[in-house]
Order: sequence, then structure tokens, then C-alpha cells
Amino acid sequence: MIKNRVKELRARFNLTQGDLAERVGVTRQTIAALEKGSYVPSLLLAMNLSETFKEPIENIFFKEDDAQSK
Amino acid sequence: MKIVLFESIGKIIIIIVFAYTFAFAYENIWLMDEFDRGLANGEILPINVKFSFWPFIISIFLAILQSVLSIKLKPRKRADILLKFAEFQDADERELMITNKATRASHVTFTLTAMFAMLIMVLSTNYIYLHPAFPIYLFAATIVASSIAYAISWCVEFNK
Repeated sequence: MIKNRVKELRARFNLTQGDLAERVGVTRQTIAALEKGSYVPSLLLAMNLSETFKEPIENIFFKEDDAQSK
Repeated sequence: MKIVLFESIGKIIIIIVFAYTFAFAYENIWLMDEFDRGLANGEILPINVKFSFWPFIISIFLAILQSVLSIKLKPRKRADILLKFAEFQDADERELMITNKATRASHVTFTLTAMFAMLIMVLSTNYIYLHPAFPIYLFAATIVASSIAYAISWCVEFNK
């Protein structure tokens, strides 16, 4: 299971789901599904999110067991 | 999701109206053939076949209306008219994945329904004499079943 910090980072950047969706080129529903953890993005979308949040991909997406050990 | 629902429901309505249209025409032609061919005895018999253009006109009107609304709902380039037609929705990578899963569900449903329809046709040979257009409705039902499976699985996946 892959977890992510998209919701937290989006709040930090003061973006709505719609704004973020527009920046990374997907629909708002995809961002909502990402935040719920029900969708694992492609590498391209992960890279776009990484670029938007100015964070390396591994700081945004991580495996669930990694999250528990942190 | 509203595009998929609109396209699927529109398609189902059009298929049902088309099935009725062709069934109506076929039933009359079939009855004429069954009852009048034997009497002709090599001669040409003038016969009156009940035939109405209304179902044809309505189905063509519905098909045009659906195409216009579909293009308004889902703008596309001229080159994409055929590729982006129908209920396939691919606004982003997630929708592409959902469409992929829904198409698989639709394909499986179509295969199973087609096999079931073959079985029904074999078992209902007497019924065909009472309702000659029955196979047309059966064929339409096969397409409708796969369209319903597509729409349901698309909506379920989309709302996950």
C-alpha cells in the first residue's frame, strides 16, 4: 500500500484540489482519490506533484511499512 | 461521470428504439414472406405491407440529437471524432485506467450474454414463429447488457 502527503502539502501551499489538479494536468477527482489513498499515480503525475511541491518524490510517496517505521 | 452516464443511457435508448424500428419492419416483411410466397405460384402478387417510417425517423433524430449533445458535452478535434465517440472517457490517467477496467467488465458481460442469447435462440425456435423479430431484441439486449455493465463498473470505480 502506498501512502502520500499530498493533502498535507496542498494545505501548506494553500491550494484547492481544483488548483492542484490544474497545475499537474489531471481532474479534481483524481486529486481527491490520491488524497484518499485509493489511487496510486503514474510516475509522470508523481514527478509533476514533486515539481509543484518542490519536494523529492520519496518525501511525498512512501510505502505503508516505511510510514510506520518513521 | 455525467458524460459516461449520458453516453451510456443515450446509447441504450437509441439501441432500444433502433431494435424496435428494425423489428417492426422485419416482422411485417417476414409475415408477408411466410404467408404470401406460397400463394404466388410463380406469379407476381401485389401485396400491402404495413410499414411506418415513424420509428425510422425517430431513431435517426435521436441518433443525431445524441451526437450533437455528445460533441457539446465532450469537445473534440475533428481528427478525434471517432476516437472520442461513445462512452469512453479519458480526461486524465485515472479515467483512462477506469475506462480500461470498465471496458473489460463490458467485454466479459458481452461474451456471457452472447453465449446466453445463443442458448435462448436454440431453445425458443417455436417462439420465433410467434414473434419473428425476437432475435433482433435478443441482439439488442446483448448490447444493452454490456453497456449497463460498462456504466455500472465505471461509476463504481470512479467513486472508489
